[in-house]
Amino acid sequence: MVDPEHEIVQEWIEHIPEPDRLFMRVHVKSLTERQLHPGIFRERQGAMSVDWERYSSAEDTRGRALSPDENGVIALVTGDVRRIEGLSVEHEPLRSNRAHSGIHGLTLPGSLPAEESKTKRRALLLGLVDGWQIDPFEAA
Amino acid sequence: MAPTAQFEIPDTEFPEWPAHSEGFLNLADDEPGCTENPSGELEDLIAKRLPYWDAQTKLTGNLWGALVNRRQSDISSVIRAARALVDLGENWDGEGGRGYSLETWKRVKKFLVSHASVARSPLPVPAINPADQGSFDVFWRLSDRQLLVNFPEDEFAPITYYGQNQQGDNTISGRITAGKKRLDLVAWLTQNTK
Repeated sequence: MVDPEHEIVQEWIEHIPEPDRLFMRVHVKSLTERQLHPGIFRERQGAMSVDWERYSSAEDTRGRALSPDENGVIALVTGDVRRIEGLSVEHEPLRSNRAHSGIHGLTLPGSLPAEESKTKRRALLLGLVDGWQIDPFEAA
Repeated sequence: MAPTAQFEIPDTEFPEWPAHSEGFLNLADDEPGCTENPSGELEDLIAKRLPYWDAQTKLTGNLWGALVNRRQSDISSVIRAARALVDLGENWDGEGGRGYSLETWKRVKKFLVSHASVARSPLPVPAINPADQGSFDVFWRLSDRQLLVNFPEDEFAPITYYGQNQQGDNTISGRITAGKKRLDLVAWLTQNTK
């Protein structure tokens, strides 16, 4: 049975404007050389989980990790993500987190077969990241 | 001060690179090239991950050989460091993150070793990173281009790559057959665009 706190609240769903930022956590153990890389982009349960800045700060996003001290936070601009072929951004608010949103389509086939498309999209997503919102190696 | 190799590579780990650091050590001891480089030009060039075409025009003779040896040494250390990813185990991030297998790491190592030893085209030093579903990424992020190669955990799943230059008008993508050398990728990484 699904925890009601983790069910999408239909009446809260909104359209996320193109200029708005999406915050995403990155675990320090995935940063082998302390550098951001395409491997940070990964789906869980069919989407990459992000938080819409309208309802969340970067600090909030970090605080929702099981181990906040082991996570940093990056930001992606919604419109930039949507301009990558095959990717969509949807607001999927949860009772426990109204900011919760999903980036969908990472593993779908596009102009290339699915596996190549995924590798391409991950490379392009990295190009959208403008450094850390919260640097896990500096954050207290 | 003469440069020294920082890593000893046992033959059992990198048999494809016969005594690859030996030339570098001999060069330091015997050849005037390095001693005539007191300004650390070679170190500077290596630190900047100088593209092949620049290095070949600026370095001659044994300095060029030293660059090749150093690149191989740096790549071997990157491969060795990536071995630690295998030890992460399952749920390494506390959120269900999948672990990384020794077999996948070995396939990454085999690919890099075979391509780094290609004559006269020293491979730039990549990063080896953990990606999703137990896969490894090999990622070259150079000053004017990048290339991403993904090695899935399933040895029968395709190894895929995507590369593009800084302007995004020169791209490559496709699949790599395991065990096959892809000199075209090395050429793409090291091509002269100036």
